[in-house]
Amino acid sequence: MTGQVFLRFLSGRMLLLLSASLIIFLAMNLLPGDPAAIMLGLDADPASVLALHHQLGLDRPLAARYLHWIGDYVHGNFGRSSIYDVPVSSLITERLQASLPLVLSALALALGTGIPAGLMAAANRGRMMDTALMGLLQFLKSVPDFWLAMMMTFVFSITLHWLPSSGFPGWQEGIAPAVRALALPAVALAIPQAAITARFMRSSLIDILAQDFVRTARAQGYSRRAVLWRIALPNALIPVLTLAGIQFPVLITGSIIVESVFNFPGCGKLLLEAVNQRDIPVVQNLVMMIVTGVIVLNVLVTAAVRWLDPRLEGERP
Amino acid sequence: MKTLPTFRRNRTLWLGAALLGTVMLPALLTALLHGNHAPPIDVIHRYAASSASHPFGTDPFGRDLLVFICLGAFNSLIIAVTAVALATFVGTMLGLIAAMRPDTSSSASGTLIMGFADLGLAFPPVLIAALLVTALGASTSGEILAIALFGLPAQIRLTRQAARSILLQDYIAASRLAGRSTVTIMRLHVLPNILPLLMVQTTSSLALAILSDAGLSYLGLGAPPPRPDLGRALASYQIHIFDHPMLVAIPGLAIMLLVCGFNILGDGLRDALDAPYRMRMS
Amino acid sequence: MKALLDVRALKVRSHEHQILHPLSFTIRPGEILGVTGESGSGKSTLALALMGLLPTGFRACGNAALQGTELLSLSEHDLCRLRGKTLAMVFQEPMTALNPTRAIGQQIADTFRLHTVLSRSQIRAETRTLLQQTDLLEAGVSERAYPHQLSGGQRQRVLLAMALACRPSLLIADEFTTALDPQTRNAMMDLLRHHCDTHGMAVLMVSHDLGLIRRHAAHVLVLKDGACVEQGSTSSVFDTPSHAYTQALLAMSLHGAGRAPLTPLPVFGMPT
Repeated sequence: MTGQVFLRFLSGRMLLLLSASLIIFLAMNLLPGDPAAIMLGLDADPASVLALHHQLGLDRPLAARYLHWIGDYVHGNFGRSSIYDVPVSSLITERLQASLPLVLSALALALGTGIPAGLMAAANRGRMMDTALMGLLQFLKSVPDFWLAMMMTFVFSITLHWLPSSGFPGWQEGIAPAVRALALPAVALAIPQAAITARFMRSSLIDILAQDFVRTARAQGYSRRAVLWRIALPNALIPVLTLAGIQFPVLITGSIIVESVFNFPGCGKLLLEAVNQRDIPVVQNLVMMIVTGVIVLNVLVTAAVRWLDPRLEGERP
Repeated sequence: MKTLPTFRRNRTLWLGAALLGTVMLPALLTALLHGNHAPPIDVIHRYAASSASHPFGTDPFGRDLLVFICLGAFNSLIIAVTAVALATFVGTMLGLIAAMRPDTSSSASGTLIMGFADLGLAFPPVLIAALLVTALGASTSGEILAIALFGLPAQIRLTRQAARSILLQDYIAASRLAGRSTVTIMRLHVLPNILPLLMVQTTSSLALAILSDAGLSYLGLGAPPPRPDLGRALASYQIHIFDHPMLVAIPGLAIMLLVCGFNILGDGLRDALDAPYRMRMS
Repeated sequence: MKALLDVRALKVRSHEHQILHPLSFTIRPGEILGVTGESGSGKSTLALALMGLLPTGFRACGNAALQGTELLSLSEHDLCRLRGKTLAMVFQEPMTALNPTRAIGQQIADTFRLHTVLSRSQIRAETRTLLQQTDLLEAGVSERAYPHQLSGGQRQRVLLAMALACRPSLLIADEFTTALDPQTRNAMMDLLRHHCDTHGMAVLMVSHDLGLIRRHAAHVLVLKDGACVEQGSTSSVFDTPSHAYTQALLAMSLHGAGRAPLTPLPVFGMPT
């Protein structure tokens, strides 16, 4: 039964992915004017426009082009970048080596600091500590991450010279320089998300602590501390996990902007360059890849939540 | 109105309003008195320090920073308010339609609307904007559309969830038995009951919209020049952070005050209206 | 026989309000004391005060000695050792009183884990015995089941199993039979009686079900607005009620209206 329900959810997400691919394709292929002409710019000679037109397969019907693209995408064949003239897949793989560590470390930082902060606020509910922490978090939640990134470069790179202010040396230079380059963008990206997580964690815990089963556990002999850690925390983490899944697209957006602030050679930077240069194969495939990543993460989070919360068994996600 | 005294005593509400006011009032006044166009470029007086004629000094183009920031805030607000109004109106309507049947899969419109809401969860706003800009070039309406499209799914889900819980109440069944149509029930019972919740949601949507606008225009995916904009100001001032950090600090603070103001206002509203503390989105 | 629980002038205050007026009673080992009264009369407050689990802002004072140990002046640490072991409680909301994300076997085993040094396999065996005693195994309920898979009556039995695990000397049962059907109720009361008779467990049974109290309790305490209006042996209170309130309560119960009025469920947080 449970498996069946989850399979239905999974096929729903597949359908979602398919609709997303259709939207991306249509947005890229129904633009006013000839994509080949747009890609080559205003002063391109008609012969090369025609050649590119043919190379991109633009003389074939729309449906055939869509199916061709999806087939290629599934096989990891993303076509060639019209600006760099290299396979899009190699461009994306190269940039992912910078972007993936950035996004994942920001996510880990956000959860790793947000959850304990929320726990601390809830454990000290109503006291000075709680009030002060909540005020600080409200403020951090509202900071634009890319501006925070700029201000942090001013403090830590320009004034204190502790950390590099831009770029990413890659992993071949060793772990330390890469981590140093990641530190500022990851922290800037994580701070507003950590604040959101902490506030949510606090209210989730306070909700749980008011539940009857917490009182049952206390009557059973659990101390106030033990009840917080062993009974309330596991229950309160479930909605927080759901929130993390919802916030992930926001984190992706943040990473694209923060990459731009740090001139960080990641996927976000690649996307912007591609958008500015009208590099349609890169935009189309990169957007599709990010969307795929977001949907896959959503499926994973949903599966994890269902695994943690037995009540959802048999219910549609 | 029994809620009125709670409004007056609600300190959170006033704090939010005050934070918003510090940016909104100067922004509105500047737009009214100066007109919504960038102050003239004056290369002789660039990087001017704070003075009586230029309280915040001038920027790298010799423009008055205060006027520029106020107009930037004004334009960000216009974009955010328009996008949120759009998302709230369309999202509420779609959410109510989706809520009409208990099970979304039993009606074609419900399935379609919730499918669309799901779609929104796959597209971060910057991707919508990237697609739109690649296809159509940067435009104000494109940016508004991108922000609105991003906010729409949450609005649909929230409205549907809230409306469903109202529709489960006994008095709705009584109203149905009395022969009221679904549309009438939605108008008479559901909409007034979910209104406080929608108001709270609107404030947090506005905060998010301001942030999105700043990010998109920083990337050049937002409204194009010539109108001043906070995000674009940050992008153009960023290289001057070494010598003139205040140029970067001030526009960012303006964004933060607006976002913080809307968030705190939302918290205050929630307390005052006693709306559910937080909505779970499944 | 010496009293197991000796309560003297126990009162509960919340800020300026007197929630529970001074109250004195004793329970002997193996005895069942019935506490009754309409909803809001302070029955549950009394139960929580004895457990030391009053909500924040509530203060209990007076004396309440359990086997000579003064409960009200006990440190939180010592209370934790007592709760679940010598002093156990069953709550009235079976639908929400169990942790939704843990299997019922784990929750029953918790009582052993907190208070005994039994090995994992011993705890498993004890848990199964308890499930059997509460007729849960018979009903096909596995220890790996989650609360949402159980009926209200079955959850109540799990709660009872959790409370009885360490053979407490005093069990506080707050309306625990309300969710049960008559047959299960009798079976559960038999189990309680069995513990009373064999281990000398005393029960403070909070209930508005006067029939149940009359059948099982030796003594009864009638509360109204946080004050005790009548107390004594069950037969004297039921046969010759002296207070008008007890008379009214008995009369209502005779007319089948003895059940507590349903409290309205909270509506989706909108001002109406």
